[in-house]
Amino acid sequence: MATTEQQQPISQSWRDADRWVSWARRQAAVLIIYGLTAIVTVVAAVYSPTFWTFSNITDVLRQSIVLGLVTIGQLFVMLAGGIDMSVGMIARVVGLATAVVLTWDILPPYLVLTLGLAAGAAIGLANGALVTRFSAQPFILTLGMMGILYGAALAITDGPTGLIPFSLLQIYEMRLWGVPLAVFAMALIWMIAWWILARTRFGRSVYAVGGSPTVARLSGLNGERVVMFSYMISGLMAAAAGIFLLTRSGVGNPNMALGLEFRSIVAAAIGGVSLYGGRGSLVGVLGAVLLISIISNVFDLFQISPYFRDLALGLIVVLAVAINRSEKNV
Amino acid sequence: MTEALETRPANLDRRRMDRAAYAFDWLSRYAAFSAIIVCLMIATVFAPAFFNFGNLRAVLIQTAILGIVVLGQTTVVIGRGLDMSVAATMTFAAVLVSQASLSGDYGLMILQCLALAIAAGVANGLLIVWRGVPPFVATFAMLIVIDGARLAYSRGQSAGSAPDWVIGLGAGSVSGIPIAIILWLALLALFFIALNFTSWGRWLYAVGTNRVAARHAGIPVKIVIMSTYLATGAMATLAGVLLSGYVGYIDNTLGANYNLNSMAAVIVGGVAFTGGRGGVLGASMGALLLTIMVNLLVVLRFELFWQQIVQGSVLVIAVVIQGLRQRRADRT
Repeated sequence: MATTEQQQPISQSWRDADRWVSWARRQAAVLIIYGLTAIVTVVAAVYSPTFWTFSNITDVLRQSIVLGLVTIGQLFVMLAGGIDMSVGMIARVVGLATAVVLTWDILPPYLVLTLGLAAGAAIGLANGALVTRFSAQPFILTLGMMGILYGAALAITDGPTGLIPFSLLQIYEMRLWGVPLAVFAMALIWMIAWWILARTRFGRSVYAVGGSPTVARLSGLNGERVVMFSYMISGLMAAAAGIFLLTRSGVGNPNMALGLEFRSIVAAAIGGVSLYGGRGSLVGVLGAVLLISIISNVFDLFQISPYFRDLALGLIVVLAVAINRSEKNV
Repeated sequence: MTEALETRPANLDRRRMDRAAYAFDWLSRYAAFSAIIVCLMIATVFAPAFFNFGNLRAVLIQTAILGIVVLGQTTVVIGRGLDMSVAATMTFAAVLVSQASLSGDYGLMILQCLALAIAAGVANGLLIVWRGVPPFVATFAMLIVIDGARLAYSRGQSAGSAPDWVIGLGAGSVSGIPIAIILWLALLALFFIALNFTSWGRWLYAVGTNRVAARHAGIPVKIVIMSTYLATGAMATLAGVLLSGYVGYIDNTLGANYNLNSMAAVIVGGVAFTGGRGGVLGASMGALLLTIMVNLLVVLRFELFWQQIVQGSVLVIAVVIQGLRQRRADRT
């Protein structure tokens, strides 16, 4: 009796430790990304006097919004087992078209923005419909869509265009207690996305369909509809990113949203999202978006030559994908 | 009686499905060839200028340059991969040419190009076979690295002109036949023989069809996949040098279209993105088709953006046809 009483606490604590270890192992990607973010933050704060200031930190958060929006959309698509290469060009086309329509001044500005968001969602839905109805390979299909949308963007304009009303510039500029309002809005969007993925039926079906389409179908899920929805969300978020870029620059820039599809896939991959679908968390992706935004801010603060930035970013990406050894060896 | 009535429509349905499967199969094989014929008919009616000797020569040289990239891309896709870094490799090769024309050290340039080809191929291959990174992520990470390395190497000053002998390679002729075309046809023959008449070719098709079975059959899967990325690296470097010679003037965007175009040519040329199906002849037809289409748009005076839209549409239509074919094949 006495011996069991002595052993009980030991085995209990062992079981606790075991639970912690297995939790840490499951969350390895998320822990690594936040560890890296913390390290970069501390190093930057130590070596740069301006990094850890209120205005710079709020600036970093505001800079992270565009990538954050697109990456949330990309996360939905990737969790459902697809990939969206067209997000950057959706952002560009919607941004440019919105700028042009705003210049005509025939519709109330906020209606134009809503139409822009709807257009992005419609393009996303077209991607989703093509992928599901015709069993088209997502990567190649959205790559083709990227080409078509690039042509459409060139058709809209090949120079800076559009005049944004002052009221819309406030979307970027307006502040509450010194913090840009857009940062609060973005925090809300992150929370809504987390709630959808973790707490709703749709969110769970996204994981199920991406994890195993066959099992999802056998358990009565409409996989095609889930996949189509995921592309629609991606198109909607990309359109939102395009419109936000527009309110930042105040003018439709034909080079806007350059490389956004690549950066969003990188952010999702670094954030621990499986490229085969079904695995990944919003929390990890948030960490990756923050890390990338902080790194590019640090590049600015330390005045790293722009010619070396891409190389540095590329090497970081190669290291990240090489370390994150995938479970399926394809 | 009732049973017979019920089974008959099902039989009819199955036969119709077979016909559809056959149609999609035919389309996925001969889409590029049929579309070329349609394009040529359009050209005969609406754009006789297309058939000028000078224009045809330009079309064939452009086909040759795209075709060389496509040879490498085809082997990668047969092995169930894809290479997104070809455009970056081409631009880097072109920048190496422009730098060499300033310094005049062409021996160094050739060494640099060799190093570029091998580095791109080995890095892609290692990430994919050794770390198990999905091909498009690995090759597009390499795209960022190669682009970044090019910017770091040239400090953004890549504008320049190609030296005369490179221009000779890209635009010159030997006894009336452009050198680029001779190179392309020679490489096409080499790849055709390698894919169809060597054990490497048989291994590659086996690896693309079923990697696990190939491994169990004792095929050196990793080496075979590695070799396909080395092939694209080499072909993209060569195509970059030829393109810089053909255009004669080098800037940062030279070759930027070749990722989308090489993929489109391969897919429309009947090489299955699911691996193990198709060959270099079909893919070369795809390269010819894309070049003819873009050229027709120029001859018919369409605005520039139509080129992007047409190239993107070719890729979308081709991948949809292949998806439908795959779906039929899975069902029957």
